[in-house]
Amino acid sequence: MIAHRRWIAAPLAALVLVVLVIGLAACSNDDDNGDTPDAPADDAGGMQVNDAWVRATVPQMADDGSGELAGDDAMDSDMAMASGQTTGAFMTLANHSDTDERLIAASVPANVATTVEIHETTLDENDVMRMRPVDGVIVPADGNLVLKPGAFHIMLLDVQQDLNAGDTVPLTLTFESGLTLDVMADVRPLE
Amino acid sequence: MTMRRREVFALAVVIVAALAGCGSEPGESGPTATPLPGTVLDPPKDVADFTLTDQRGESFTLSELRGKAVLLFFGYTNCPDVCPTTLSEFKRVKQELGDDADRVAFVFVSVDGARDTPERLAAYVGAFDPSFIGLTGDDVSIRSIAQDYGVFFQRQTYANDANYLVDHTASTFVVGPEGRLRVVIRYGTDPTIVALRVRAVL
Repeated sequence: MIAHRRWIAAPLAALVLVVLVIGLAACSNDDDNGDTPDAPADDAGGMQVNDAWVRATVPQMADDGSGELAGDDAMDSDMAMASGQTTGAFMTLANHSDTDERLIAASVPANVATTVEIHETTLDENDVMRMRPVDGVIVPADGNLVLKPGAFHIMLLDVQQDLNAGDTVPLTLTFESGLTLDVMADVRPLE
Repeated sequence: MTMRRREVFALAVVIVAALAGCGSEPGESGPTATPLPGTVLDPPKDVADFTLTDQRGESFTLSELRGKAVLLFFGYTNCPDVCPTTLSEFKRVKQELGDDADRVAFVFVSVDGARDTPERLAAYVGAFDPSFIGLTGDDVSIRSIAQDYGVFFQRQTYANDANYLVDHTASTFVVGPEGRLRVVIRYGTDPTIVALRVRAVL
């Protein structure tokens, strides 16, 4: 009787295992929505960049086109608004080499933004969001680094022009090893 | 035979448990420190009414929304990641709510009154949903509202004066139709769950 029970239990246990594995696989199919990689874009020295994008800037108020000299106050506020505009650039870096690469800088043409930095966003246990510049970030050997909202990302500061969905921003990435990589990032809607 | 039936029952229990585990898995990349998605305040917290300037440049008082549930998020328009992400999720919450969305208001309160003018808020909030309300004001007003809701914010200047960032609480605050704070929901919570939380206070 007992032997008979064991005989039934073993295949059942296997079945349970299979069901669990399938169940868990189904669970994890939802990470990183919207991050489906496009065709591999930029590749150099074993480093590949996929799915590079920049968030559109907040549309500036339409210029009234009068060209009229505004008062000092208005001028100042216009300038402050233009110079304070920031946005983020995001992508997946895939390091196919067997050595770590450290991303230490990024740049864009000066007419896009005058300052570009690598930042990290963190959320603490009280749900407070903090963002800080970092000296660099490692793309592990045979591994990926995802630059994404809420984590490491590239910040464009002092953005000089409206970046609208459909535009393309050329980015140059510099690694500690001396490797540089040119990337074309699509501008995606603010939302 | 009875034994076999018991085994089948056990298998069914395991499957149900596995699926239940699936449901509570917050699929997104957000933090998952709290076991429950959202903190329900029981009893609800009394919060002071406040008046700020909306994206049309007009004075706006929170109690104008009495009778509606209000989702409040504190952020700033130069915020590159968590603020636009949350406003995008608000759009999805609104979709999830369907007809009930008529009884819900979505409000973005700026913690960066110096840069977030009504015009800028109009462009920003309008890019997500024209029905969303954007509010801004002077630092003292924002500070006292933030304190009331338990919101932290602090300006971080590091490169030059124009390029400061603002650290801030990224939670969503749900005010009930009666005007009291009912639920606090962590950043990154699935919009479906947020919608359920909101429906529960309607």
